[in-house]
Amino acid sequence: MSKAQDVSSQLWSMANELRGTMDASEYRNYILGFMFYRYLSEKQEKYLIDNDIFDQVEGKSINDLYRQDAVGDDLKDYLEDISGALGYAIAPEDTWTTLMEKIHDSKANAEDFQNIFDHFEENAQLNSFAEKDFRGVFADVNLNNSRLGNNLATRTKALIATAKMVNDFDYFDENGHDILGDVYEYLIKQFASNAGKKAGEFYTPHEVSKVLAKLVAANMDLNQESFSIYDPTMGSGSLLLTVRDEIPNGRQKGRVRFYGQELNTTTYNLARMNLMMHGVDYGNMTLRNADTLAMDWPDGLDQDGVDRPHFFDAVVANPPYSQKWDADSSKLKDPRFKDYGALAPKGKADYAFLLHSLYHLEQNGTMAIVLPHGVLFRGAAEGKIRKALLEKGQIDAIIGMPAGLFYSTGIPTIIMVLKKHRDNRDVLFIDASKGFEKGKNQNILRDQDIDKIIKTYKKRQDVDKYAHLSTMDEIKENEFNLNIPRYVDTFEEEPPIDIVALSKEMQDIDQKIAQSEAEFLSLVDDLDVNEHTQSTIDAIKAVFKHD
Amino acid sequence: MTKQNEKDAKRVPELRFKGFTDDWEQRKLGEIGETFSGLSGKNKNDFGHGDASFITYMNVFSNSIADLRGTEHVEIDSKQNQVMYGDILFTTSSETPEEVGMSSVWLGHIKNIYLNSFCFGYRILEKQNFDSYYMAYLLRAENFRKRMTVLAQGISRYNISKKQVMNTFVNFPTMEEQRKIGKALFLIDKTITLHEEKQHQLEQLKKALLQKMFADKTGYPALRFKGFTEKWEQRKPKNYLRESRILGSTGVDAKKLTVKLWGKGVVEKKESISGSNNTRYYIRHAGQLMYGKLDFLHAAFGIVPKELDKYESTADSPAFDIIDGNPKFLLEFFLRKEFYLRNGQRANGSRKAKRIHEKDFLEMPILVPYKSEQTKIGNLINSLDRTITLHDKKIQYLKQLKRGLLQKMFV
Repeated sequence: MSKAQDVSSQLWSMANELRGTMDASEYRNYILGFMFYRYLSEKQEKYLIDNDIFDQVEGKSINDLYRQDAVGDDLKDYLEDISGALGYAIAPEDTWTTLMEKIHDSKANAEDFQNIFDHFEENAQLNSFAEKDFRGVFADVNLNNSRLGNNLATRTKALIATAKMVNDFDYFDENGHDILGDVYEYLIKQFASNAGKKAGEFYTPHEVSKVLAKLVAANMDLNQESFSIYDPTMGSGSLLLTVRDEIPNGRQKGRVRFYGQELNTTTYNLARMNLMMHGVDYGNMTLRNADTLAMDWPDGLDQDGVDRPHFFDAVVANPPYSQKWDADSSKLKDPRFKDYGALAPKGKADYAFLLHSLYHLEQNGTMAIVLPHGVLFRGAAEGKIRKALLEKGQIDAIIGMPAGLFYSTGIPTIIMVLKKHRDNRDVLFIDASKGFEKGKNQNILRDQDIDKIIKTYKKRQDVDKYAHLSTMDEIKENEFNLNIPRYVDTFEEEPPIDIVALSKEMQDIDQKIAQSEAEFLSLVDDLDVNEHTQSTIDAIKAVFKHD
Repeated sequence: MTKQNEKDAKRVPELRFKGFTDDWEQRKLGEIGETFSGLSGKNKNDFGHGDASFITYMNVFSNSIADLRGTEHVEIDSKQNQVMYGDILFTTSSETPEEVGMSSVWLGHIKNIYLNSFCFGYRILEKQNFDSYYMAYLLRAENFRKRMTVLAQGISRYNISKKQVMNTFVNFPTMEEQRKIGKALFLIDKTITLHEEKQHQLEQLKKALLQKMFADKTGYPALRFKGFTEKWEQRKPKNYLRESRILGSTGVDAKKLTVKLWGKGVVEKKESISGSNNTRYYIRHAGQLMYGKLDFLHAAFGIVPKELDKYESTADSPAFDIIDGNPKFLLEFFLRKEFYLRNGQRANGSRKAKRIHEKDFLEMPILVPYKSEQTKIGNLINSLDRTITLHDKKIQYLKQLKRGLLQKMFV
């Protein structure tokens, strides 16, 4: 087990003790919020050291010096300077170190917690470029929640216990690498898998993310200097981070620009924290809290009154399946949907998510999206959209995934790979539905399963009972129905039965039956015949007697 | 004297071998042997590997003489009790009282063999006085089974205590007489097993004939009746079937039928609760071909038998009038994996429980001959089916005969 896993499972079990009657999904906001605050505070401390703001003084910590120096008008200067560099700023009285000292000296009170978050919010306005990345990021850490405790004293006690728990671990592995981001990610996963169906929606299992990430990375021109990646339903943002990991030097500053959108505010906050704790600079991320299916998210009109939509090198998505949406006919004019002749039905937004994602793809970009099987064969409006996509040659590959991979649903899903522009009209079908290991609650994609999918995708050739490269003619013959079994035949022929050999066996059995019956008959012959048993014995003999 | 004792007082069986006249001797199981327990202190990681084996619950439950192959792997563990030749194994728990305390005799000589933890073992001490086969059938005979049923305790699961089993009285003749009884019953058992094997072979024979008598991709079958040479034609079920939708009653009143899986036919549906008033039922007629939409992939096809004429089903089990072609031929055609599985897999849907719509079924491609050839093939399979059914009846009778002997040959 890695250190990160080790730390997170310890945190997880401690959290379960501390949360008392509170829902795990609710307690999540406190523990993850505190972790993020600690991260930001320590990052600021590191900034102060790295930039030699203070002269080292024997017996005094950086936090001491900061507390001593940053007072009065100087405080304002400090905060402005830090905020200019980091996007946020924490006053000396509000740092994690100060909070821990107060807790240690038993001087911490409810006000201290209130202050650190209130002041953070105020200071977030100092840097207008960073404001939208930091404002409200702690909004879900509700200090007055009665489930923390029914009076101020018990609530404060609970907050102190949680803060101490977060503080008890050091977040570096044996090589000195920062593992806080990984611990955070593990915790999100833990909360997702333990929170039941509904609450698991914000998390895409890492293995599935990896498949999506590798699919889009397979098509990237790695000589490109920087990449923009977009997830229109980003949840906690893990999928975007997984894509980064598939890009060589993805962690290099400025190499990857992150774009994401999420409807649920709490989840959106999780995503902001998750990305930043994984070292994503606020300047490289544009995350929004909005409805992907409502108005498109342009940057606004430019000076000439023209809307210039954003296009991305890679789009990845695992949207909620067959969601209801507002399919008002006015949407037919929406540039995202207008070229496909129909709108996704109001009870099934799958194609709306798909078309939105595709619209925001660069001409030579690649997108990969997880969807339910229905999109492959449902008729009516969805049939029309599917046909249009095929005729434009935008569907590159379809991969059938095993059932039970997700926390939120047990249904089997597919991954569709799309490109805006392709020279070919062929479609690669992969039936990966049987490649998995059975898990306790979820099925698990193993590395070998992922490798097989990616290798097959890159080769783009037929593999018996696994993959088929289908021509447009074949698809037309199937009336644009893309159901995978129509293209990948996994039918196992029955072995032919040898009648001659069977006949020998049957004769052999007949002989054995005759023997066995004769032997039995000889024993029946030995039964004691009297007036009561006569008829019984005769009857048995009559059955087995052969002439 | 209690009723039980009164009955036991007359300690001779109805059917006896020549030359034996002595009264049988009554003994308490606990007096002549001792018990030992199955595997204990194991968790699931201990199973599935290792050089030792344990005898499974199902093996004990299903066989009066345990199947030597009915074992699974487990690591060697010197703290556990090993099963030895002649040991008698009892199940301790079950789902119904009638199934508690089922016994099985182990006649294997292998080392390092243990017993599953839901059973206990019983070892007879004076082995020279007790015949294993006799014991095997004695403990499965009606008389002994009844006493076990009475001892079952529990509500949703039933248990039996070792101690109470050991307190049970059973009757024994001399060793010589035991051997004869054991052997006779063993032979009838063996005969039944052989007939079952034969039954399986007949089914294989049918399968083999179907493989050869239906056309493959070339359009020609390997085995044909004299005088037929044409290539089989590409058609669709809709050329032979027309859906029947005669509105019937609701779920409350309908006499219901259902299509069984794997071609086992159309049978009456027995329900413990009446159906819903809001469910529409349709009247079915004898001779119609039916299938189950949800169980297409499990070969739920059948033809409505005469006795179920005018019974009803919902739209989930559609029925078709056969407007052309031979019914038996068509039914057997649909019952082949090559048809239902290949086409079922291709049909829309992703879940295992796919619902195959009649519209899709009627359009599936099939390769068929003219009606005259269909009829010949249909008749041949019909007569083979009759043989198989008769053979199955014979097996049922043999089993009844065995039950009769178990009643008459023990006290």
